[in-house]
Amino acid sequence: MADPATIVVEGLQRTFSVRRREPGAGALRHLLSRSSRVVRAVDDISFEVPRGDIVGYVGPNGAGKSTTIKMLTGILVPSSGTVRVLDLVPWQQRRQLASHIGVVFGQRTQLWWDLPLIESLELLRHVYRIPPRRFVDNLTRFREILELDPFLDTPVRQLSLGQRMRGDLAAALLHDPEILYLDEPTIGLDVVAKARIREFLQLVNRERDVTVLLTTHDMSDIAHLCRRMMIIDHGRLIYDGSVSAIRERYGTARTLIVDLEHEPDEPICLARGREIRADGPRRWIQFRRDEATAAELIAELSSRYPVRDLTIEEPEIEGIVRQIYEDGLDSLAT
Amino acid sequence: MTAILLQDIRLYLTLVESRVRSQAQYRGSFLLVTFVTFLGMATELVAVIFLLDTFGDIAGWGVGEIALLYGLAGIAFGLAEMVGAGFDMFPEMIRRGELDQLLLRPAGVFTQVMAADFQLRRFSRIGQALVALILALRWTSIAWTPEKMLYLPLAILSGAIMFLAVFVLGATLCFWTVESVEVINTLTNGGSEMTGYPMSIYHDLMQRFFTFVIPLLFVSYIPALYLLDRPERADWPGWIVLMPPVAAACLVGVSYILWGVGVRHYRSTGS
Amino acid sequence: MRLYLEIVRRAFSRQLTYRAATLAGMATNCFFGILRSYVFMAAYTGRVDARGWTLDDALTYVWVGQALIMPVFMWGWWDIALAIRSGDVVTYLSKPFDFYGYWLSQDAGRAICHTLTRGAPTLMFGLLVFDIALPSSALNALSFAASVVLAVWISFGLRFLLNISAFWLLDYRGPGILLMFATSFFSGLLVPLVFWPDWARTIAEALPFSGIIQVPADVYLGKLADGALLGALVFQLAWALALMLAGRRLISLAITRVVVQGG
Repeated sequence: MADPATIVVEGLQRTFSVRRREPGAGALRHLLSRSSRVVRAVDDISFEVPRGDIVGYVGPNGAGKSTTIKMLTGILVPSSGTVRVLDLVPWQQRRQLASHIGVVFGQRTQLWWDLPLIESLELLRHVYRIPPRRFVDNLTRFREILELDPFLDTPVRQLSLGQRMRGDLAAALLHDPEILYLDEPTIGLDVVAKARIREFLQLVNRERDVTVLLTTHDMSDIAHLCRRMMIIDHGRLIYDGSVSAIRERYGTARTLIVDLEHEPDEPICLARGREIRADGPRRWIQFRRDEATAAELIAELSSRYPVRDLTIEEPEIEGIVRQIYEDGLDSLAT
Repeated sequence: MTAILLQDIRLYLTLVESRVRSQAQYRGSFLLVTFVTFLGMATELVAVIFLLDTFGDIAGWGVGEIALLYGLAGIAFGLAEMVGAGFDMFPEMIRRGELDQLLLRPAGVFTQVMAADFQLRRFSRIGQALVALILALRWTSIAWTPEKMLYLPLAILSGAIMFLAVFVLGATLCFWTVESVEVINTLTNGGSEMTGYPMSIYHDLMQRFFTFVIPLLFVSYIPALYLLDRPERADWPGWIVLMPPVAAACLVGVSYILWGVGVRHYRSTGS
Repeated sequence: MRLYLEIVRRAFSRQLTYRAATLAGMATNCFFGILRSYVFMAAYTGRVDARGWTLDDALTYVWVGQALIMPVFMWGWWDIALAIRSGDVVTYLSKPFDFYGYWLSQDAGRAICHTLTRGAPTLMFGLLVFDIALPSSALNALSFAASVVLAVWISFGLRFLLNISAFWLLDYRGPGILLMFATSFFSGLLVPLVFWPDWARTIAEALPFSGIIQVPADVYLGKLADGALLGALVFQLAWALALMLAGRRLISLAITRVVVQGG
């Protein structure tokens, strides 16, 4: 019935002219000053997302992710290019489109800060004009899956980050949107909470065929949820393809950061891990996911050196992007 | 078009009802603050009465007449403060990036901002101005006609809409300047005090500004002239008496349009 | 002593950084000054004198009053109360300086800044636009300065007491609002006490609020002969001291309470 491609973006551009603020100048002078520089936040991006896909949209800080989402949701008007979402032009048909999309910002909430969670959800029922029957059905379902009951009556400002995130997810899906935009949904959450959210998203995608565009820093989110990912850097789309290809190439390296009791005389050398960085008694040891488990490495390490503390670092998008550049953009089969 | 308007109105009422309910929760503290503010503001009225006790009249307006002006202006301003509280906190909203959230919803931004707050506690100002109005009705001898009885609430409503429009203008400015524009505060609070006296006493430039730019002349002065059948300004055309709602409509229309320009600007430059 | 001077200096520079608010606040001050000037001009039509005051006196009073508003800071000072609510007050109470003295020094720094950045310019505006009077002599000006200092001290005393009440009251906003309106009313800011009915005037003149605006303004206008002038300054000093004693008494009560209840 509708376009098979839910989201169609072509030649999307967004430039900002940022006025340079002279240090010490007052507000009036700033308004009148003409020195400015042009920032290309989004530079000629094109892609299509068919119905029901879960796609990752990743990039380093300031790459243009949020700007893209703003243009897809109608908040921001592009400088040039075309966008069609569900066959609507976002910034021209903002209100119409709003009924069909759900958005969750990791850093900000769309719930009312001073009201109990349940009241926020009730208000949203009116905002989205959800038929009472459907509202009750959805709410019941979400209460069950997301386990909202313990804090349904708690004011949103008193909720923990994980609870608030679950509340936001329920809020975003109550009106059965066709598309769900997620901006850093698992930021700041512990491993258990992250897993719960990922399960929920997979369920929703399966049951309701919701298209999900996931903007995140966290490669493990992408690994668990998406088959396809797009990498954006400095406003440009540098990769649009399978997640597995990226993982195989760049996502396998994990880093063990260990604090030893005292500084060893020479670089640490393990059977399947090599030291890539040293700072006194603190050592960074890299190993491949497919070659060894963290447990094996830790065991070997502590049998040879006195270990005081350690953490494990997962591959981060910044690192991957850096490596992509080092290898050369053409080395990627897009 | 009208369907959308009705939708927005219904949404506004629902959101405001939630605001009011959450405010009424803290009943004890709320009543105390409202009552104390009522008393406090009443001292303003007492001060005016003292002044008139000494001077007898101001530009030919006695204590009853001044009380009428004070009452009309006070109720109008209080109503605007109550309803327009959302626009008052708009600078804060935009600073916290909450405007984006509103743009993601299938509802008008204007409606949502207006519904963001509704301050019941402003009733203290309305209450105290009502006292002034009642005193005015006792201390003056108005020749009441059915038209005048209809005119009174209409004039107050128009005044309230005018002050509300000034609040909207104040919020609209936030789209362009990050610094909070206190000029609007001056216009509203100052304007409210200003309209408590006959406009004829002020400097020519001020009178012209507040007739043609921000038409606060029509909040209390024109209605009082009509209700009291005052002989001054007999040279002004008769239809000026009907201007309050027109002035209110014009000002609110202008502010609504400028608001739209502001939202468009926000969406084109990304704040 | 050096410590308190340092606090004064710091508070002064901190207040100086709020530049944007200054210009906007000035506009509000001047607008209200203009409004009230015109009200008096209209009130005086057809007469030269009212209770011994001329129009010139009344106009001067309006602008002196507007100039004093920020230095005496009669509206919305909750620093201590907020510290009490958040519990931060304990850090102040546990330090080796005098609690009252610390906050007085802070307010002094702020008041000096406000006098220079808001008070003086407002008075200047009145001088230029409404041709108000200047103090008649150097002695007059000096007494005015002394009176202003005492006015700020009295206002601080009242605000201090109000803030300290947060130790005992669950909701300090109610009394706070009451204080603000009482100050603006009984200080003669809205209408100078000379224009009040006699019975009301007697009451108001006994209260400390009159020492915040009315008395300094009277001094400025030279309305007080030598004996009365001295009497007025003594009146201000007496209230300032009384409020200080009350404040210090309450603070020691509060400290005991805090210690007993463990915060």
